[in-house]
Amino acid sequence: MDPTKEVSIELLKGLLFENTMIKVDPQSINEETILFGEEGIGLDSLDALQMIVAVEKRFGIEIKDPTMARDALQSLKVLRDWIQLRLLSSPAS
Amino acid sequence: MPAFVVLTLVFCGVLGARLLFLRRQSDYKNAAFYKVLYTPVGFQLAIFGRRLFGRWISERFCELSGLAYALTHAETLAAIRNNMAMLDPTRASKTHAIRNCITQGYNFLEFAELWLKKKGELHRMIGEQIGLEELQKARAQKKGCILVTGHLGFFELGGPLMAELGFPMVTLTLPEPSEALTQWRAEFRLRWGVRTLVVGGDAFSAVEITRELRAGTFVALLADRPFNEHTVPIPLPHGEILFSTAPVMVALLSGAPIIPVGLTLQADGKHRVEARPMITPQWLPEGREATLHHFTQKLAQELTPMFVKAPEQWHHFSDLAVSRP
Repeated sequence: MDPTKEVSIELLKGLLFENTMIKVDPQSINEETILFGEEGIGLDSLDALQMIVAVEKRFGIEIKDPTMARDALQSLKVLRDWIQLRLLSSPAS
Repeated sequence: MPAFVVLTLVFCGVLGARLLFLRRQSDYKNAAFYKVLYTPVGFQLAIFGRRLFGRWISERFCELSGLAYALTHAETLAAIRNNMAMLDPTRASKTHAIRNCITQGYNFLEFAELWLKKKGELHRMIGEQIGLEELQKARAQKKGCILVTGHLGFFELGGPLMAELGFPMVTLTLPEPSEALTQWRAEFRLRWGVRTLVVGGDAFSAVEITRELRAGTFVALLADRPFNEHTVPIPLPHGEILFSTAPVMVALLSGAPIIPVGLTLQADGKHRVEARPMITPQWLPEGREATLHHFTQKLAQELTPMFVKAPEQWHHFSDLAVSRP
């Protein structure tokens, strides 16, 4: 795996706060916090789009469709595992 | 002609009953009128009526319907007047607001006209065309394009027109009040080769937008009645409303340009089409909020003159003002 693309919860939290219109206290977000949907923290479709583009730019992984986005963006932990899996299985790793 | 008289009498009877026995409701979306007509059945009735009675009678029926609606919905009429006054206070009288309701009635008729047209016949509905070379410029860039308009005129005609001109088109919409209507309107657009992308119901549906744009598709959306908190206040000549920042955000994320567009009904019954100069948002050093604010205001500056030219075709049935002078 490319060491410049190390994935940590803190890094992903940073991406979340830099790239979305999130309005909650960063301290209240942990790796298990549900990001989207009724049980989520109030993020909407534009926030999802911003997060998807941020992940693409930072890690070079394209989130191609809504199903993939739904799978990847459940929580920061799920997103970390999802990115790590793709980085490990990519030809450059 | 007798059929028209019977229909008119039935309509007046229903209207009278409503006036006498039913309570008025402040939100037009809760109104019985809206619930009954804004359904697939309502649209199909418009098509059936147009086919049965012809254009002239259908137009008169639309006028009567618009008038009846205006006279039985005082609060909505006041909201329409308030909105029109932000564009031009001299064109915001009760008569102008009633005219606004009537032109909305015409939009139902235009749905029927569109339904009855065959491929290749759409140009008969189009009048003056301004700035369409901007669309060709955007196509040459191969980055897709975001066509942004307001609730102006029969905006639904824009998608079929673009598809007819050979542009790959997707219309973005919010979910309609019922799944059946969402489906019906999507199928209606698809007859003209315009696909529909329903956003807003599911956070992840927006992923499709960037995918479409990257494939070179033209995506159409409305900006002057935001449904979420991604908004900025934009000035009108005599007030201030909120505009969605979604078009600018999507443009920034996808690299696609924005073209502000508008359709308005001309005196001869045809539709004037206008495309304004392309806007290509870029991140400003001042940050995200400043970027969204700057380019959304720029977008609004292009659209507002079209609203000002035809306030009676700017269809908002609830008060939009965030501030007035």
